[in-house]
Amino acid sequence: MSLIPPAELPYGPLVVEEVYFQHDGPRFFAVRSERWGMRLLALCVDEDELDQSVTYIYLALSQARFHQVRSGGISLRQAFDLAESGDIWQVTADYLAEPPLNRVEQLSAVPAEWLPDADAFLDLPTVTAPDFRPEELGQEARESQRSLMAVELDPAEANTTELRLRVLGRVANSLQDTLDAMAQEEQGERTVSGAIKAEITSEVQMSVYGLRAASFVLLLGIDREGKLFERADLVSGTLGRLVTLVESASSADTLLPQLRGYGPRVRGRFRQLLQNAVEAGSGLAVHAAPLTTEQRAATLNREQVRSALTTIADVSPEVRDMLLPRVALTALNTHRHTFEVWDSVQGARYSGVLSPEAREQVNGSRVGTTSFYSVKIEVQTDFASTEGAPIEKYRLLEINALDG
Amino acid sequence: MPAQVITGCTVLAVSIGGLPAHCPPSGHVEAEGTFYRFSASSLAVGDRVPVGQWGLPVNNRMSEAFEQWNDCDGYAHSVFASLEPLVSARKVLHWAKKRSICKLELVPGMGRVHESPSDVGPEHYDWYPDPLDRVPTAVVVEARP
Repeated sequence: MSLIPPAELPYGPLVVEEVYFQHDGPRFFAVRSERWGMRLLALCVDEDELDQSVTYIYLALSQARFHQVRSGGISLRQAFDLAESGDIWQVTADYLAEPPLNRVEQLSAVPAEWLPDADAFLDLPTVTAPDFRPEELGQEARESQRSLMAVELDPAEANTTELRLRVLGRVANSLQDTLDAMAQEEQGERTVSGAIKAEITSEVQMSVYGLRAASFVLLLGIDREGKLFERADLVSGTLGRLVTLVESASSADTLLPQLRGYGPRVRGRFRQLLQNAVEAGSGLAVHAAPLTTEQRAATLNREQVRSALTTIADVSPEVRDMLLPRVALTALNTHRHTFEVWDSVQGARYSGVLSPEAREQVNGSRVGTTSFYSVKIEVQTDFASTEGAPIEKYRLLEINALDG
Repeated sequence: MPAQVITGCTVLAVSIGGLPAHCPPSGHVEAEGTFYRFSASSLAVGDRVPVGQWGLPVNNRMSEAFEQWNDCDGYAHSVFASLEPLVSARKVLHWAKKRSICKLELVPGMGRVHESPSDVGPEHYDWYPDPLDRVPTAVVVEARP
């Protein structure tokens, strides 16, 4: 006759669900109540060879609390400390009795020596959200008449489908920025700085509509607010570009040619996306299910994400000289060696640092919009600048006053 | 009843040929190497584990496999490929805190082992001794804390 799990506890039929430690039988295990869905943790605390008895403590846990304990969110000791009245049972399997039976006693508190050590944890990946099924994404896109995508992160140390909001925010921002920048390239309207046209960004604006395991899969769909139909060609092209770029990032040999086909804006936003994945300790997978083209996916593991980031960071900036025949010197700081000039013909403003030669030349120059100069400026364009850093940096090489 | 096992501390007289069908489970290999398991609380480091502690679960009244003649689990001892799972178990289980840990060397001819990991670790094996009353030389390496 089996005394494990005990039929005498008031939770209906119980089944042993997992065994965490066994030694000639289960000693530390979890049982599930088939009726209530909750779990009990069972710990063997004593074995008496004279009495022929084995004693266990059973701790009843809600499903949510069990997930926390199983994933290491709370320690085993904490689980007992947090127990409510009636949650703890002492079950002594008496094998001398005929037939053998369990003697059950409800405990208000567990004897201190029976408790697990304060630093004893389980540390198991624990599913707390429905599983992601990539094959269903395309079908869902067709049924909802909406392009969908899924972004899969697998942060280290994550045992449950959880991600810090700040980390998620960074990844989500850089993903949307990458899509925006790609969409304008798809549209043939590449820009280096300034705002991207709203009519482009609104077409590829994504909304979060679900969460899946494991470990963390964000389901995204094209935002349909304010529009009846999405621009399927633009969306499909943009999502396809993202998958292709992620796919290429598995090797420097394929990544750099792909990136060189893009302007610095896409390169910078993609670098930021990889950077955010690295900071999350995660790999990166994207699944795209556009309405009008086949579903595609690309996956980078953590090492590949780190390696791709290093590849991008190692590319030297492009340097070129730019001659501006007539500009006004609108700001000059001789202590910090900085300048700003205004080209009224092109409507462009350039600011940066002075070269040692230019520091000499600017002595006595008049700041304002009534004196004009011809200047030579070195333009340094980072291959892929991260968020907040200027894409182009300027250095004044020469400045000459124009007559009159 | 595929095996006739005489219960008691030391008198076991069944060969491995008496195991139930499909026992050990597929994937078993020759028992060979160093293994660890819990032993009695009274033993000190260097003590040999007495013969009486090697009763199989099928003979142990306090086992779920007691007299379950067709249950393969009844014919194996739990052994671990490293000390670590046993040390970890002591952090969780008062039962384990009250026990010493012994080391045993298994060599070809002593039976079969089958890897049977728990849900938290790969180190657990079932050792099916051959003959079933085989008693290994096991020496305590860690006394009860």
